[in-house]
Amino acid sequence: MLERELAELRVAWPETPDIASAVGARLAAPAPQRRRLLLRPAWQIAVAVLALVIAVVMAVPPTRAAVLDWLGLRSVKIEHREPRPSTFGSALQLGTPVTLSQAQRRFPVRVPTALGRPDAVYLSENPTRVDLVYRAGDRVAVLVTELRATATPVIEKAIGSASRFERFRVDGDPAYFISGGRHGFAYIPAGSQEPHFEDARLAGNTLLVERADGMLLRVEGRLNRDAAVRIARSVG
Amino acid sequence: MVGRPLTEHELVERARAGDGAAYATLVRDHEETAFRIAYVICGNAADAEEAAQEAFVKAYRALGRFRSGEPLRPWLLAIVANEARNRRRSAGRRAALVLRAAGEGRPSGEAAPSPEAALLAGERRATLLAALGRMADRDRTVIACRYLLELTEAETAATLGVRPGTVKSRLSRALDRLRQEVGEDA
Repeated sequence: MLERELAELRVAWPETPDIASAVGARLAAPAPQRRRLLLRPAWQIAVAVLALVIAVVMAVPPTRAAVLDWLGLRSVKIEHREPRPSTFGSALQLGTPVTLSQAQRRFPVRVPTALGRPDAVYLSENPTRVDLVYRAGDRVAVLVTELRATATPVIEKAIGSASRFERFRVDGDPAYFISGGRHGFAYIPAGSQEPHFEDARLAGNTLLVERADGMLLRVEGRLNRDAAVRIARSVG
Repeated sequence: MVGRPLTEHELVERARAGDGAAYATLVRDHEETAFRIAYVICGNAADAEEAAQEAFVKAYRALGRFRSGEPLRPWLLAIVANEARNRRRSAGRRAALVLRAAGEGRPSGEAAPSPEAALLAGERRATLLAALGRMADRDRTVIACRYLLELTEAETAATLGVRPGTVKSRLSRALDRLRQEVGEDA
């Protein structure tokens, strides 16, 4: 009876928008569309971080011209030089400061395209992890860590009681978002049985993505989950 | 050889080869169902539109992984539902889904009901839809897929991201809860 009533119900659905045209327009011009998406109002991090993103994107020659174009700043001249290893963020005690290209020669570093070139890069011994540091003014805005490890079996260890913990998936990979309070997390490095404990380095939130390729990705900063996920997904 | 509409299989093959018009035809064929599924999951039209749009863009880029010869609709709906769920999650908490009944919903050919009967039937439909809107996401989605959107069991399974066998049991539990919600014994 209930089933029949449900089947006979006619719902006043909202009018279906013209999705085919919108999709066609986006597929016809994929590159600029994606760049713009990144900077829409939905991208809710602080203005400082937004400025950082633009600055970082500008440091990368192939995209610089396009970005300058739509900012109407084509005539601005920006010098681009290979930097010496920056020690910005050294208070976080992350490892040895190196340049991005030095790190890339020793570790398969994946730079998140949403953020572009990091302001400082730290490599661990061996190396088993790389930390990418992004600045806003004189503080560290975002920290992206890539390590060979798994987190799922031990993830809930070390998370502070004042923190909120969410489990979900990012493109099919297990993901965890730890927000609020002072928190840490545990992980098992590749080739080891013993869990290691890692404290949060910044006052902010932590996204962990345990990728199928063996990389444990951490995105930390004053980011909401959506923004952190966007950064994580832009890691190739 | 002009005039025969292309089959879905032919359209998929053309879209894979980069034929945008062929893909647009496929999107048009499925955009209404896609949008409504996204609406049920997201709870509002703006997010549903964005989710459906994003899903079709992703589906186009993933066409190479689509197994030729399989029905396209379940594959597409799985991508749409996944996109909608991601959007809902990042939006955090949300209000109950608002669904309104449209018109009579009485099989054509039946005599028009008396004004009293029509009023009662209208109230009943509103009660049902309001109860559905208040249900937990997984219960509401399975009922909406099967009854409001008239998806097959296989399509519903793809949308929910579960095995086809799970749809039946989930649906039956959801219907039990809906019966309780509208004050009707199982």
